Amino acid sequence: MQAHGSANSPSPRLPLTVVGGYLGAGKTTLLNALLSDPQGQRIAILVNDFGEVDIDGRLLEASSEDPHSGKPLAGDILTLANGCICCSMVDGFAETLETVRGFADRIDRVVVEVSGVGDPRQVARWGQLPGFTPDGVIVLVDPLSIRARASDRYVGETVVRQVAGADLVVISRTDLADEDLLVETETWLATTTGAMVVRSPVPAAVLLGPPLRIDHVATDNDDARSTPPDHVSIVRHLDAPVSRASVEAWMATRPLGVARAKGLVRIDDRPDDRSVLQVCGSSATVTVDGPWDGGDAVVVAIALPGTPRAGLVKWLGLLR
Amino acid sequence: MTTTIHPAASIHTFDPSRPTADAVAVRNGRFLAVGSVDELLRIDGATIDGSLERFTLIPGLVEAHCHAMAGGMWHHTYCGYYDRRGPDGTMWPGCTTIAEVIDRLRDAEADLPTPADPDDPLLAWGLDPIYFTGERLVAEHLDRVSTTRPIFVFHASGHLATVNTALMATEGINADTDVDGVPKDGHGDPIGELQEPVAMALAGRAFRKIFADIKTDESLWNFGNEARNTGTTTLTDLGNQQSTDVAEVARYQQVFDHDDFPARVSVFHMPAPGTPDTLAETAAAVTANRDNSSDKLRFGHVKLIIDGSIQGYTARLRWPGYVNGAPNGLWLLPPEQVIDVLRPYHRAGLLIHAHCNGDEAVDVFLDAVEGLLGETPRVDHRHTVQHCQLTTPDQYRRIAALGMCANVFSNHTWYWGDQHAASTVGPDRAGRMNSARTALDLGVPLSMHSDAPITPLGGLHVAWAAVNRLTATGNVLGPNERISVDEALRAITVGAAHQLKMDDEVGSISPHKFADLAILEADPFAVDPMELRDVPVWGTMLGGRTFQAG
Repeated sequence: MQAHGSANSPSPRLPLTVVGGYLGAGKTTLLNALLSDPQGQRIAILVNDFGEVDIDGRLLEASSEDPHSGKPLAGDILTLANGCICCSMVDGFAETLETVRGFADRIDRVVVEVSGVGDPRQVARWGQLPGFTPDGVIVLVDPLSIRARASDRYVGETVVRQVAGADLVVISRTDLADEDLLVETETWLATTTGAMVVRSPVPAAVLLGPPLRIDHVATDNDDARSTPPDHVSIVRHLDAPVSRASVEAWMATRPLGVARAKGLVRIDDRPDDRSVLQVCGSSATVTVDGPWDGGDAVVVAIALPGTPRAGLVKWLGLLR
Repeated sequence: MTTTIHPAASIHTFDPSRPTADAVAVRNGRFLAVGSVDELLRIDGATIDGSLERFTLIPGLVEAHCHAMAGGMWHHTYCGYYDRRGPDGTMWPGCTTIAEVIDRLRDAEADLPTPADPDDPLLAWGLDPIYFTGERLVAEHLDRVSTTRPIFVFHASGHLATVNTALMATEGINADTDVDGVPKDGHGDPIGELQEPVAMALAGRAFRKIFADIKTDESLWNFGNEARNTGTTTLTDLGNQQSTDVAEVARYQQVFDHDDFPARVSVFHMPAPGTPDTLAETAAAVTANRDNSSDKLRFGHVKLIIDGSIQGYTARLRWPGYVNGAPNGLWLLPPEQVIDVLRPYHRAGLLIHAHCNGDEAVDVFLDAVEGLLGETPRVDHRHTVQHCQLTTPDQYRRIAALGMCANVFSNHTWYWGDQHAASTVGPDRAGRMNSARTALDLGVPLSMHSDAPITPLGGLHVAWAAVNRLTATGNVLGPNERISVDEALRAITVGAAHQLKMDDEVGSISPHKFADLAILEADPFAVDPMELRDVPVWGTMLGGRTFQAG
């Protein structure tokens, strides 16, 4: 493994991923799994109430201090021994994100839990604020109850709106649903949302995408550390700025099976800026992250098991 | 032990045994008796204080739905469309054109220290551009006020702000800003409008300052002074998430328990979301917090929010929903969880007020209360539907049967009635909104409110709106739902006190109750009902002490 210059430094913008879904869809289970095994990423998880996360007492650090003042933090932040933090949003979104910004040098990304009746697509807009970059709307769906919820007098519209606004839908409780029900659920989802649909369990690398910091990624094409063994991962280094047209073509022609991709690149019409390419399920975005500070341009993609590697290679090859 | 007799030009007690009187006798801050001066002079040691004899006295008004933050905006420059009186008594004429907004801001800018400190923005509030036909306030207008001092103008809707070029430069809002709700001009530069909270948060220091200033002691004093100016003697802080915190209790005690603070305040706790365990802890904390109460400051009730607002298209409506085709609104709590969230508070014997603007939200609240009463029967709980704007006769019958109360948002007819008829629910349902007549006819204990700061604090305006149901363009909206002056004034005195479980202490001029009065310069029963809101308020009496309006 070799260093990649200053592109190894953390991004000034923290990726912000939103996790939604109606009551009982499995948000708490998913968040607890991320907190207890964050795959080497240091995650700030924002929740409405600490009662919803079941943090192992052994992970909790004895004291929490503000990174700037060194003063003890108020009761709305928990820091964990594995580098993750958990914030309650009692003071509201703007205030909580301001607090999280104070931790930017020691976390890699932000995951926001949306309440069971919240609209994750709306919440994702907070990721546009300075210091953050939107990185996907993940909505959990319980196959045992989703159809009844979707036609419920009170919450039907709310549930359909959540699913329709997703980039990636994760079908939870697959151990309790039979194959017929799962297929039926997938068929219904196909008519309800343009999102990519996957069945749980879904590895953290797919939920969150590749690590932001490129030194987490091996220099050869296979990234053994952060990719689950049955998924397909591919890395490409770029020597020169790529054209805007090639980026647009790349975003528009994703092969089936690509769940996540991330790139830090230079684009020809903004060669002095660092452009960030992100794919989460059905959405692909390109944002400017800050000035280009040297180092390699690199793109990483993760695809579902069984996705042909050749197609992925060809796809990354579009960037030129 | 002194007993003071206050003769008055007229007195309306709202006490059925003695609805009118010539004078009140006050001892130890409470009403000792009402009657004729001769009757009252028979009390041993009673002396006459003639200072109120040219006024009309009614019970001090009770505002059962407002927020302590209502005083917080007066740190900043008012530029709303309607004339508005500040807590210090200054009358701010409405700004009815963009030119008037600019003039108002120039005056405010002239009072600020120079050179401009980028950390000390000029903040303004209340802008209502809905009335500026065809004109949109943008940065270019505000640049005429200052090109060096950041300016942030908060719109009355709470959903928009307009900022100047200096603010955008300071906070880095520019052509590269890639945030929804930042409209740009033909050159790709932001025009200075920030739409919805995410975009408004870009205004950084100015945006945060608005909310920080709400939490100052001065803001709380403004709240009390607005009460005094409007004849209000009992206020609510309907929904405070911190009200069980030691520091918040101390802050409120320091101001509201002060002898010079001119009102009583009932603080409702607004629980944060939680699990059954944490909700039970909250219920215990709210109950324990009652020990911090005094004659002037009350803790111990609970407020919850079930849906959004009608004018924001976020209230939950029964079919046919919004007439302009907007999707149905938002739940703030999952409907199926409402009963679980309320259970610990109901079981603890607490009073629950729930914000339900839309009729579908009312259904959910009533279902939950009915379920809870089946599990844990209670008498005289007085759980209250707050706002209650689209509540239908079938729902009012259920409210009465369940022992509940309704507090309707009468001011809506005046402030948004035209918009409701045109865009949100259409003319038919707009005429049924805030149906006080139906509520009273179906036996529902009724109050009416301003929801200050959403509309200005002031019971006489609230009563006027329910009596006349006039819109801002002069239409009578739903004439069959009008109520009488007597019914309206009862609703904002003894009716409101009942919903706060304070009707044994305030709400009528009756022996034993606190000597709280609205002191009026005309008799509200003698004026044309269309002039009810214009009855001048001299001030208030609180616990026997008079407070003159600013």
